[in-house]
Amino acid sequence: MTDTREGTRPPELPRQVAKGGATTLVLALLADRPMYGYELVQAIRERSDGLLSFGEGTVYPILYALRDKGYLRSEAQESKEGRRRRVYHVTPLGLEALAAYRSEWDRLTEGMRLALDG
Amino acid sequence: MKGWGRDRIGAHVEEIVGALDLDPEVAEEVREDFVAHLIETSESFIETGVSEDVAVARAIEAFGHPEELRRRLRAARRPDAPLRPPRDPSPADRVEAAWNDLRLAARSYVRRPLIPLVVVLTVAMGIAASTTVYSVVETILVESLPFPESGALVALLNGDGDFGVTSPANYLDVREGTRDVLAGFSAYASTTVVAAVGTEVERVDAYLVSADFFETLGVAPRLGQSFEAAHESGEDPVAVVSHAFWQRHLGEAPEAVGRTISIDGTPTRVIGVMPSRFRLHGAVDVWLPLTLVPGAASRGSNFLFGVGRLSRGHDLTSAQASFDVVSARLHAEYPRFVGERPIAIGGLSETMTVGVRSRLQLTALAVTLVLLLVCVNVGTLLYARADERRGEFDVRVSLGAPRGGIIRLIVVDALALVAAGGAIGVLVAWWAVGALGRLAPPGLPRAAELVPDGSVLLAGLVATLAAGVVVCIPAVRQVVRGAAGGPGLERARGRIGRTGGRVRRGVVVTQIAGSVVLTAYAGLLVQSLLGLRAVDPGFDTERLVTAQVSLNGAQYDDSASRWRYFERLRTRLLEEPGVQSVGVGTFRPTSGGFTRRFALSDRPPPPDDAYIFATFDPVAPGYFEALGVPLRSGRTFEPLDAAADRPVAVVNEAFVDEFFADRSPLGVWLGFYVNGEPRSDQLEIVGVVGDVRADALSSAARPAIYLPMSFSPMSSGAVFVRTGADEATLLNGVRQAFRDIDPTQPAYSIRSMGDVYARSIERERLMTMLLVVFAVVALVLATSGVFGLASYSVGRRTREIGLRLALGADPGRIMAGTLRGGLLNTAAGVLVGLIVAAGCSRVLADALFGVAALDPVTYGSVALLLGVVALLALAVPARRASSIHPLEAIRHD
Repeated sequence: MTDTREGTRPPELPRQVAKGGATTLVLALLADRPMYGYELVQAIRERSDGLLSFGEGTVYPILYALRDKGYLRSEAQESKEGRRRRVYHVTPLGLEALAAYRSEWDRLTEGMRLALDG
Repeated sequence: MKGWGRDRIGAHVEEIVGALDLDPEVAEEVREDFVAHLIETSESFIETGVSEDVAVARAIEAFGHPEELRRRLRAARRPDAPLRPPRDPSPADRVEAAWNDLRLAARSYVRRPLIPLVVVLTVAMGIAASTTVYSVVETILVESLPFPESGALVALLNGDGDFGVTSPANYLDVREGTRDVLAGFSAYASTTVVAAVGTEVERVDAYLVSADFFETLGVAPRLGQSFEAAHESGEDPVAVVSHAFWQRHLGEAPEAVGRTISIDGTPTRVIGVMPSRFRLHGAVDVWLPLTLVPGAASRGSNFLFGVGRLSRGHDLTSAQASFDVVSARLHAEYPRFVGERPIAIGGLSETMTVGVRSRLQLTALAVTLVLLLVCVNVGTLLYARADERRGEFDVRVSLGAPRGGIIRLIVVDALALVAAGGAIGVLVAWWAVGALGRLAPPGLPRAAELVPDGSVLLAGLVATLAAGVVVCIPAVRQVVRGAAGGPGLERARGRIGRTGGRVRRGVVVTQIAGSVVLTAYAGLLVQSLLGLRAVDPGFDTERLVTAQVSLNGAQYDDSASRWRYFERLRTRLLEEPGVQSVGVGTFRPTSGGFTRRFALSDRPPPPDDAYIFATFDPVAPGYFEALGVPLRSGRTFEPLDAAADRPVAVVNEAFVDEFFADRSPLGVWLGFYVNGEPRSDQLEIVGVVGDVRADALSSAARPAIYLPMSFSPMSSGAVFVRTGADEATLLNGVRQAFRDIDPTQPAYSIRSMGDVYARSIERERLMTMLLVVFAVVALVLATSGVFGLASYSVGRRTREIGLRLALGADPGRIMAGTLRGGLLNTAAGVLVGLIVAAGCSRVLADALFGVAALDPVTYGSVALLLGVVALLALAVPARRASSIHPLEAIRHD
């Protein structure tokens, strides 16, 4: 099953850019390679100690919101063990948004370095 | 994984999702994601060896609180809803968070050590310098008045507002006439006595005091009692001793009170021991009752200082009115002894500082400036540091960190750095003050009292911590505003950028201005000190040892015995190895001397209200030769002058200039006055010698009359021994010679003449040293400010500069542009600094010698120095600006 909900609007910066740290992080990680939720949580945990200390499950609402905006698309896959997983990919619109976010976040060098590089 | 584990996970997910009003398709998708996630997490726990039950529980716990997840899922339907922490932190959470902040700050120090290091070093430098200086100033220059209600204490003044003296008879009359306004009015005179306890003999500083002296000051003896009125008769010799004397000679025994010791050969009963910290002007070991017999007291000899305590309801003005009345009466009754000008009084505390007031003002100004510069510098650095971490703060806010947490982060960071710097500074100050006390040059006054003062250190630390907190407020405001984000973010950033730019420039201009003021003043004082050192004292100070003695006891009551003593001493000293000549006088240069009224035979005696006077110094033959005072005309004293009792005198060049213009004074006779009456015996001026600076190096020589010691041998003498060998080895020989002649009359103040001069300019040297230290600190701060601003500016403009370079801009022009900006700030700072320095130069005027407070060369040199220093500080960032690689610029913000 393929689920693409790409929007037609050009990527615009979120109304409150500074509050989009988690959004940018998720986009950045998924731009690296598509991942399913559990994998993404492990990647975040590895790279930013304590960022999701308020619960692993909170990454899913972020994924849903990004997908609603058209920045992600999800694709159901079946593992070798026969497990169904929803893998999230960054869309071209998402990559554009990520570039815009990055440009903004580059100003926040120290913080992003803490979050992305550990 | 077993079925019941899956069931439990399914139930948990249903608890989350079922309560939400989601589109069925979306709800199903969420269920699938959540269940898959929880199963996978549980299995990863099971792989670590825990039971399935525990693994599922842990996975559910790690997944997050159901309510929080529901809230976020709801919010996810709204665009860009921020993530929020699930609950308000508890106090324990806050402590843990602060600890985490500290750890985070520590990690960032390691990653970017420059700013933290500079903050710590700046604070350390500021605290060390200011605390050391405060301790030194406090100990050496600020005489504290440890007396109860010390504001009510008054002192007798002279015409210059300094401590004044009066005669015993005048004192008794004034005491009687001011009883209505003063609760006590005590007299005291400084002297030295030979104190002998058993076999220990020591010359000590002493005060002769009226019986109510301690009562007036409000200090009671630690042991025993103070004086009573009956003691003023002198019939029952008693003494009060200092705590130090009690420790040194009386074994700290309570039974010391009542013990009899010898004071100048007179058996004297110790009746009291004063507390250890008691002192009026300086350390004194023995207090003796002043013998005051109404009717028999001298009117013409002014040597008594006076200290009084205002009665309740009276102030200085009303008390002075009473003194005016008494003065007018005394002037009417004794016009020859009491002048028309009223006897003046002033606050004791103010009078204490009259000699050092201008220096204190200058020191206070300098210390304040240094502290201000330190605060400004630290504030700027913390601001820059917060700016550097703005990204991190924004991430935290975006991830739901409360504003308070960010503020806490900044404050924890600032306090950690300031505390580290403060601790280092306090340690350095502690060491520096102790080292100053131990290794002080011989002339440093009260060096023994220089010990680290806990309260001063604490004050310095508290002040810096407070300053640290205050200066991080702009950083907090900046970050919180910036982190507010949203459409206002860019605007806010622009505003802050502009404001920040102005603030930074203002800070640098202030730093430069402050360093100009301090460097200019330090420069003036250094020139002044060099000028003082270059002053010709009028004689050869090299290889010259000097000592003083004060003859006490009945055996030296007559002039002949005193004369014999000094003659024997002179002969004995000449036997010391290496000694070339020995001179005996009454006063030592730099310690001043007596002045006497006289008349000259070639002119009519001047009237009482316009009499002439000169310093008066009885000296033994060989005095001028030993000191190396050059003979200008005529001759000096010869042994025959004493043997034949020929009345001759030698005068100095200042005397000739003052009273003889171009004529020779040789052959003219002069006569002294005693108690306003001319003495019958006169002296013929037989020689003129060079001027000796008798009072201080900074004071011009005054007219002086030297006469043979045989004519008027004084009870105190100054001995000068010229040696061809090392001075240090002679000191013990000189001490021994005094013991050989009369062990009951120990010499004191045995030191080289070079040492005497070093001590005489010690205050100036100390003052100069302090200002130089201040100036160096200020220069370092200003340099770091100039460097920091330029580096910051280049950093901010990396992209722009890089692009310009990529488009072919001339690197030289880029470099020149950076230099121009920095030099303009420097020029503004120098201008402001010069104006302030010139405007406040009045405070310096009294402390200067041989250089004008507005010396243009000094001010010009300082401006040039600041320009050069700024140029050097700008060179690195300017060079960096001109060599930015375009690729670097593109990668940069």
